Amino acid sequence: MALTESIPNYVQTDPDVRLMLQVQNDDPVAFEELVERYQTRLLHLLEHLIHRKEQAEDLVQEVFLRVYRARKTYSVQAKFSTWLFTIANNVANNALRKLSRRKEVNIVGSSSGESAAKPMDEMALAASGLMPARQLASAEMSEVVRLAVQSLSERQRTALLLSRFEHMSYAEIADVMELTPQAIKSLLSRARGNLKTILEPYFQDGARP
Amino acid sequence: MTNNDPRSHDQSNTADSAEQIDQEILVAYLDDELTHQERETVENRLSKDEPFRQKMQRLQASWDMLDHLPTSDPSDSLTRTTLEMVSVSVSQEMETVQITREKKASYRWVGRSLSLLVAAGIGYLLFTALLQSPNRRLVRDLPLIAELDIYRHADDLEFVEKLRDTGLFSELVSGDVEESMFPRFSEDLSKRNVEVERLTADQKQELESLNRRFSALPTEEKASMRLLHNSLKKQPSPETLYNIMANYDRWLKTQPAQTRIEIEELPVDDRITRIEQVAVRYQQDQLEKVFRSKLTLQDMYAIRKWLDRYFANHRSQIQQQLPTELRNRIAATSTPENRWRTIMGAFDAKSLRLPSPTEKELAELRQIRPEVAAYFDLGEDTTSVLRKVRDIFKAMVRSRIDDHDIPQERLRYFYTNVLNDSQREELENMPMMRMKEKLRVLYIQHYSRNKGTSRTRK
Repeated sequence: MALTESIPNYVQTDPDVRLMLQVQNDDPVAFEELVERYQTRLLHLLEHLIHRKEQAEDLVQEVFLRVYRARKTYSVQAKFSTWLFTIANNVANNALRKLSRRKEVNIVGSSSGESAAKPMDEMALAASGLMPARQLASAEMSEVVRLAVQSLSERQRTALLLSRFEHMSYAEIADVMELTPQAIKSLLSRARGNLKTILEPYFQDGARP
Repeated sequence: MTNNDPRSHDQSNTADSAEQIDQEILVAYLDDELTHQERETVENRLSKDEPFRQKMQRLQASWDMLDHLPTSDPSDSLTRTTLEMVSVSVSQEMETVQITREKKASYRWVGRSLSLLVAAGIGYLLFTALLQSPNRRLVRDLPLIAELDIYRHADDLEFVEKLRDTGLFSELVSGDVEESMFPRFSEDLSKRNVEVERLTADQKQELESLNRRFSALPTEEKASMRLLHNSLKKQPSPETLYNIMANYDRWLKTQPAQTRIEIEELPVDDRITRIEQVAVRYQQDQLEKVFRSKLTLQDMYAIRKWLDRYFANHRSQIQQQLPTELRNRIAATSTPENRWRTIMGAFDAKSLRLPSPTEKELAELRQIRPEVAAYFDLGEDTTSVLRKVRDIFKAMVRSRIDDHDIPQERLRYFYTNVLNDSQREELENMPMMRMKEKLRVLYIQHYSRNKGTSRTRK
């Protein structure tokens, strides 16, 4: 198979790649356009990755600063969003490491080298103790789901959020997290299995609350 | 790429149990990451294996619950502060580079370093200058700001489409109008910076003034204008719709202030109705300006035919002067009327110099009728003759008079709004065919009268 057939032409297919190429040529309007397009999506990812809403905006800015600094060396090898979320993942990992060193984050133990997870039984207990099934108000349901997501390991959580909210394929998530697609498949399987375990009390008999 | 073998093992440290393999297969199935064959195998098992199916449902149910995951909205200032932070950071980097270079530079390299810094400095200044909020907005909203009134008067796409449906604004209906002060700006944001830079001092001053007006508009109105601009781009013929908006804006500006206010305050449908009423009346007025001379409708038809002969005689000379785009447009038009609209438009815009009529052609005009010869005052220079021919042509276009007949709607309007009660009563007592004939005669007579003669319009 010819090389040109196997590699998608991202410049043609991805308008954000074209914007980034304009940023490479020092076009501030294109940069602002990218900031506006992605800031909300990045914020949603980062606030759940670091559990700290108030710091998430700072990290969003850090991501965009890195994008701008890297503009001259940017080369089109993937969709723009894949490149951006790779940077975001690195920024989040660095932030978590710093927070961990300062003991400012509630990391209790670790499992399988996937740090930052709260013990599953603790989280399940916390979640199940909130309210009986089918009686949860919307706010309470949000809290249950937030706790469930928070209970996942850092890597499971990243893979889950990219899959669920960015609709990325396993291959794309693998690029972002610098893992193999097979590892992503396992990560997502465990992440969804854990979610099911925690949230099962809330959809007894298959019914959603 | 992804190994989706249903029997594959989890390569991390999880236990390799059958249940975990099932879960992995189901998750990959839900994520649409299986091959066609694997998918068929899973679906076959789902149809037969109840516990397997229930497990899939529970996985899906927990996945669906992620809809409840709370998310924050970015603060209003996030974009601004991000851009400012980047700007400051770039500035700091430059200072660091400068200090480092100063320390390391040998005399041999001083000149080169300085040029690099100057280049970087210019880049930075350009960046920060463009980064200033008002300028950023200006570049982004440039097409709206440059044609502020056109977009303000157009409201939304629905209104523009209704304007188009009236058929009133496909061609310019107003009299002499000023062309836009600005070129059409590119849709490519990166090119707009350059386009703004290229504007003259007067244009920049005007743009600044328009930008101030735009900035003062309510947020909703600005958003609605942006929406209209973006919606237009998605239409099959955005240029046509834009021209309708521009023609409408120019026409509206020719109306008395009271009429403008009245029109603009009406809801969309009522506004369209009122615009039609006012526009038809306006067209009549335009027509009458020409008819204030002693020309009759028949004279005008004769002049119109003279115009066609004139074009045939000078076709190559006229076409050579036209830009390719207009030449193509003329070649694509099916009617002489449309061809003349294009030519007259170019003549008005002074991008076309119509060839002087020959002596023979002037003689033909003179021969139509003595009144025609008097109207054109053939002692005048030939450009003036052509301007008057243009006026007649435009009046005919505006009044919807073609070579064949007076359109029914014009007659209907004339009957309803121009004739007095006794004239209407007289017509109503006639047989149908005779009534129609008489109505045409009255119509032609009415518009052929000189100014100051008795008018029957109500």
